[in-house]
Amino acid sequence: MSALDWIVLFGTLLLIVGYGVYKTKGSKNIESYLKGDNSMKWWTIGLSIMATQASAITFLSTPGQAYESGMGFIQFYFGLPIAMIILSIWVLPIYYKLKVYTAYEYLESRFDLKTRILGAFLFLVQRGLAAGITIYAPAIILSSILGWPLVYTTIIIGSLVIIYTVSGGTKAVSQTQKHQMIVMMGGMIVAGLFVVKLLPEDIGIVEATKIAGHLGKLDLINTEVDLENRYTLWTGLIGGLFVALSYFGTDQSQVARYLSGKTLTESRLGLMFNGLLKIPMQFIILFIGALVFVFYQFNQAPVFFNEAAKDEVYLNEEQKSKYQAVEHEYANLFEEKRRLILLLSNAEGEQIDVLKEKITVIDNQEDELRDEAKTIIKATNQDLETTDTDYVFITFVMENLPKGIIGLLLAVIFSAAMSSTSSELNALASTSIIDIYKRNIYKHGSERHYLIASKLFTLFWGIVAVFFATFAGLLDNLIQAVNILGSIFYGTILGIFLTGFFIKYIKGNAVFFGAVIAQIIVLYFYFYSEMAYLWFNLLGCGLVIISGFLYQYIKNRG
Amino acid sequence: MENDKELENNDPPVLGKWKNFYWLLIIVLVSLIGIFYAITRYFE
Repeated sequence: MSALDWIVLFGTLLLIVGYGVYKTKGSKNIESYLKGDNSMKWWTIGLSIMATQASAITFLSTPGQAYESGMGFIQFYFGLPIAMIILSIWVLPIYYKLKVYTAYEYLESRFDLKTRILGAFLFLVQRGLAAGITIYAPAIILSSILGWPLVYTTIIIGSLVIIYTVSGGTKAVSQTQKHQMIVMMGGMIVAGLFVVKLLPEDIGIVEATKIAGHLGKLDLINTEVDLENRYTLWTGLIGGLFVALSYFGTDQSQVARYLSGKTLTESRLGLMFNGLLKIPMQFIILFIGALVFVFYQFNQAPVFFNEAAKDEVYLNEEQKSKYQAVEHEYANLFEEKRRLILLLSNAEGEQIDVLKEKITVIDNQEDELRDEAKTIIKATNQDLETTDTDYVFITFVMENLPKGIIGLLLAVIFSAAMSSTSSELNALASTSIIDIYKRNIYKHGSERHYLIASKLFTLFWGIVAVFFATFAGLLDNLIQAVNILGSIFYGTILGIFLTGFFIKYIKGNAVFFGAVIAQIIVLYFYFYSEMAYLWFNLLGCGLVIISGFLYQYIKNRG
Repeated sequence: MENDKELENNDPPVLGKWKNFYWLLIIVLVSLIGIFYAITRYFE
């Protein structure tokens, strides 16, 4: 990396963090520290909601997913706008009326204390682990690219976030997220423009789109009804709706964003802003992944995208020669494929099908070679990861973009990691202090006592996240790992909340019993079935309601 | 925070010329799914 890249990277990060700390210092009580004095306007809320959801994983994994399996992942977000409307109409007014700090406070006023503690506990477990992954994901990739030990990158991201989140609380989180979001979207648009610029002269955006489409990367909608397929129109609309309802309606890291609104209308507009822009934003990120795919049809792609794994293979002479043979064959196939793809970019009618058939034959041969390379990597060191989806985009950036822009794109990834982690730490601290500490352990402290305790809890969760990130092993695919983890717990939490909002018949003991049963059954399905994870949300939610209803019915009759 | 009267008001949020944001969101979602479906079918 050049000096200019380092200046852009650290200049951007330090400016955002420094400005955030400066603008938000001096909270005097927990109302100000945890709710930002209810002073946020709708555009700050909207950007803050989007920045919380967009983690580094979004920018590393999503283009890689489009590169590997096409843009079908977009369907995951179809339920989101519907969820925004439902939350705006029915949920926001309840939170505002009760003047809650956390979503789980509502559970006590509707059910009882133990249900509130159960909700808070499920959140703390799920989000505490996810915060670790949020830091770990970019840290592992950046450490592999920069050649630093994992612990350094983890500590840099973690400590920058801890500094401003501890110092300024919710206000600092929202303030910095506004600027981080601008850097993220600006950086991605610049990256997209550069991919198009780097394509061969006679290939413009139209030809590139045609090539991506003909090679199956623009299969956006799948209308099949298949319970084991993760991304179809139905999993997106139904499963995605439940994930979004649960995430935005009951996850404190999101609830805190819109509870800091100046008025109910500002909060609602913040949610609408998110509902309107989320799908286009994901489309842009996925489309950049599809364009990177086209770029690698004209420029030799590495057999395996994680250079660090290849370097380790190269240290072993025997494996090195085998790997080089695979690389050689891969390069030979590339020339022939490139020629066919150039023809495809201008092909019409039946010619397209003939060319597609020929390209598919080469694709299959390439896949075999990639599998062979992965076998060699595994044979060299059993612990090396053989999934390289998360490395596709960052490899493209590091090897092809000009000086300065590389620094900007790394700032995008760091900013994304910091923006979502800061919301998580802030929410974990709010839940710990409001639902556990202040409610159950130390009820009559002064404002100053709770303010200091809130800062200490933020620090504590920051250290937990950094610790977890340092020791987490590389999971199969990071974005999916976080979504799967979310789906296992979200359904149950959502079931509790939906019962609270809409089913007056079910009372505290019944919903508590229903939630415990539902969580056990969801865990059983996770470990012993092939069900696509998005359905866990629906399953968990439905089970809470059904078993809660049955318990209440039996109790009332008895 | 605001008074109870405003909290009971469940009318859709209004911004500028967009009188009903809920319908706007539904229209945008359906249009995007339609466009994405057309793109998918075009390349089949």
